[in-house]
Amino acid sequence: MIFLKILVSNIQKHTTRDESDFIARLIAGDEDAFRQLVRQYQDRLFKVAYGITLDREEARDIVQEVFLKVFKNISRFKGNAKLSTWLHRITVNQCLNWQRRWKRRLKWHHRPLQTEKNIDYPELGSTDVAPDALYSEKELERLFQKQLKGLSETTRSVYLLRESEGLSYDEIAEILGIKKGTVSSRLFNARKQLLNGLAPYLESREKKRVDND
Amino acid sequence: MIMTKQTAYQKNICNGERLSQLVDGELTEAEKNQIEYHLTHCKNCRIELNRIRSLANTCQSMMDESRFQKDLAGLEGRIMSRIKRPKDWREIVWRFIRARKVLIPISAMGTILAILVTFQTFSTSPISPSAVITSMTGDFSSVIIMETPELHQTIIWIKENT
Repeated sequence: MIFLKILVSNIQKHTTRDESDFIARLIAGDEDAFRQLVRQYQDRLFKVAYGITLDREEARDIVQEVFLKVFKNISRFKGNAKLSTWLHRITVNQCLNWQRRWKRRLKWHHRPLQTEKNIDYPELGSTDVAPDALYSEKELERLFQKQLKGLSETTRSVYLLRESEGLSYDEIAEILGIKKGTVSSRLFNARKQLLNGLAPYLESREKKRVDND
Repeated sequence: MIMTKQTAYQKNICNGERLSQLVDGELTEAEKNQIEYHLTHCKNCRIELNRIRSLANTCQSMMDESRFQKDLAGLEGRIMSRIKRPKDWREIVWRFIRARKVLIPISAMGTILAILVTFQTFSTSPISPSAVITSMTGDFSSVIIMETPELHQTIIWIKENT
């Protein structure tokens, strides 16, 4: 047990040292280091941005802007938080930027069918899953996305950081600059709102399952 | 009203926020044991717990990275091309001109200038006489002075004797 603790502590020390070396290279303007940063984080940041904006094109622009901001301001990074936390914070702030928020509202208002278009329905016969179950999952996904849009952006951010990124309450609190208790209550509210909105669908699905069993 | 031990327990613990924290692994061991015990007795909470987990699966499937490969294609290249340091002065100038903070004011000024020039070129000049006749000499049999109704142009029609 003691050996394991020493091993974990050594790994943590190495990781911290590696990260500070990496940050030093970024501050020095090392392009290879920056490329590595982009490769390492673009997927995760895109997911966060897409989760909040629910718009692929906008999420792509946001990620691009985030990396450009990071490149310009890396010297300001104090190292108080982890690099990933800092990147997430910039991404969330960029998504919640009021100009973008208004643009998005306008876009959603004028494109009600975008949700359906963005869900990739697999071709029939391309999967082992029964078509019924597959349809049911996709339908749930469509309705889920619709309900997700109904959440406030701050609540949605908390929910997405938890469910999609798997971050802990502490990490989410640090990224958003809020208390851990607020993270917990926002998550609870997000789930409650989503479950309320999807209740008729979930109930009928559960009933169907019971009947099939 | 006398409350049985179980209902009091349920009243204390039927708590959606606790279920949410259980799913997220944010409870202490004691809290976890307490709520797990409660779940063995409360069907509603079991249903809610299953639904929370089902939503989490839906969310993860919606955010599956494989779905975004197309969106991420070329992103790295685009970012790297924008952060590359310029090699000579022409590139520096070109980048400066292309920067939004320069490009937007220049475009705005250009648009205003274009509007002004267009306005100056195509605006109709105020109606003025084509010629001002101060005096005339000759032998005239008749003179008619007319004014057009809308433009109020004065037409002087003269019949000269030959």
